[in-house]
Amino acid sequence: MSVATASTAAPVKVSRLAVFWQSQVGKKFVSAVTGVLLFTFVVGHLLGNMQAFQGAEKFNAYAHFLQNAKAIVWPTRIIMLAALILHATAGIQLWLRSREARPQPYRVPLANPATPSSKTMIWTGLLTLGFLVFHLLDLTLGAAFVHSGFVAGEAYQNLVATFRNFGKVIFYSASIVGIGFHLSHGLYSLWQSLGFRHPLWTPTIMKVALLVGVFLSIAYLTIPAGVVTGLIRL
Amino acid sequence: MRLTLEIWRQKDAQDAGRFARYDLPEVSEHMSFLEMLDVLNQELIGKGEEPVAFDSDCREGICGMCGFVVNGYPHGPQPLTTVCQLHMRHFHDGETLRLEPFRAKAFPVIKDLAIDRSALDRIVMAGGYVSINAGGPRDANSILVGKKESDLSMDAASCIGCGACVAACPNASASLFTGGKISHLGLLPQGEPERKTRALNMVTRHSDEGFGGCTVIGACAEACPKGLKLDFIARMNKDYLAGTVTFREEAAGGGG
Ligand code: HEM
Ligand code: SF4
Ligand code: FES
Repeated sequence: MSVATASTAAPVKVSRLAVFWQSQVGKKFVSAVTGVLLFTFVVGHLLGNMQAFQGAEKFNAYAHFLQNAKAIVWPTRIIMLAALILHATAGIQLWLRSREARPQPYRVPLANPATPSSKTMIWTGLLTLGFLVFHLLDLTLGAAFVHSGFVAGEAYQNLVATFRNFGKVIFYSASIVGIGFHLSHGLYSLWQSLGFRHPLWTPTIMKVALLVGVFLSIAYLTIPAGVVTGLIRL
Repeated sequence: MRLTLEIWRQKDAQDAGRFARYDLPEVSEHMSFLEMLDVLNQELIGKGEEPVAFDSDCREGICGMCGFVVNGYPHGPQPLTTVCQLHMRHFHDGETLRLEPFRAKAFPVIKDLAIDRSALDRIVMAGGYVSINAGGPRDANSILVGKKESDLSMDAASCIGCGACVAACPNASASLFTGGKISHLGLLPQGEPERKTRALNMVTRHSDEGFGGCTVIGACAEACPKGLKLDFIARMNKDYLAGTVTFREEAAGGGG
């Protein structure tokens, strides 16, 4: 019987979590789990926001409810922030490592089957990150340099004011489309990261991921579109 | 037929490298791609020039020694075909073909189109084996293997280690190769006892060799001359994840 040598045993002494995080498979797993968490938030946030179409009273009541439901809101915020930090760190590190893996580019570009969304994960991700910071400053914190007329507690009025600014409409819309792109690849690739692939289900998952990405983008776009068209107004 | 070749010429790993043009006025469509390069090399030697370096061994698509990129396709545009099995009848008169080496940090160029793929060997050394008791021969069929498992394992085992998956991958990842090796042993009863540590060790080695990670693009599976599928990468991930959770440090004095 062969004797176990250093190379046959997984590294000892190093913590298993560290080995896991060091490996690309481990980082992708973290990316998948945190991606699912962020996705559930994206869906929940959409459902809440749709109340903008029911008028100021309903929407502001919902906003007040959230502000007072500290036992729900704070744990959610902490989990989402942790998920976002882990997800972005894993994604950026994986991207950097893949770039390092081919220092000499091909002189003739390779024919490859990458979809537009799979090619742009890092860019749609970074756009999302920038958007989140801006969005929080704009409509949650109401930082004066982002949102001059912000009135705390008046969520509906603040929303309408934001989308009366053309630049913000463009930036919000582009970011929402970016998130849709991100999810149309992410909701498919995460299954692979979790170790699941199946000749029957995987092609279906690919299609559903694309549909969900497109649907979420369109659904979110209805909010700025609602303000621009006057469906949502003061 | 008449072909123009633009071939990547690079003296050694330090050299910057460049394309050189060669006109081949009379290429027989019955030649294999490598035979065409043999003819070119004879000509170059006759003229006192340095022949083009490229690797090959079996020339029948089973050893994995050959491989370079033709017009953006590892092993050329013909699916499920190594470049040694690629015939010139698939190209047409007057075409220009650009030949580049497989490019990856883990595959340093030795010269021209020849690259050093020993990183793949080191991934195999990290876990591509089964530990069994030596001794008298066993009865045939004393270990039962399911038909589906054996078929899948054979699919994975058909990997010839050519590195085209790495060449094709936008992340220069060797996940298809590594997943193939992990699956071909892990699917069989003989490989089952070491299935999870194998995945841990081989995945760790894969990272250490400087390959990129998988982002589920699928370029590897399209380029693979042996038709390995992305399923093997999912299996690698599953075994690695399970191994991370269930791995036990070995007790002192325990045998392998
Ligand atoms: C709304 C927030 C976000 C959601 C819902 C989300 C969702 C996802 C999902 C589901 C995946 C697939 C994970 C996998 O294949 O295992 C993914 C991958 C990825 N995400 Fe995000 N993400 C978000 C924000 C971000 C941010 C802020 C970044 C920052 C840079 C980012 C960068 C990436 C990258 C680079 C990948 C690809 C990782 C790889 O394949 O190597 N994402 N995302
Ligand atoms: S998986 Fe396919 S492309 Fe990759 S090394 Fe094996 S045979 Fe070559
Ligand atoms: S030379 Fe052996 S596979 Fe091409």
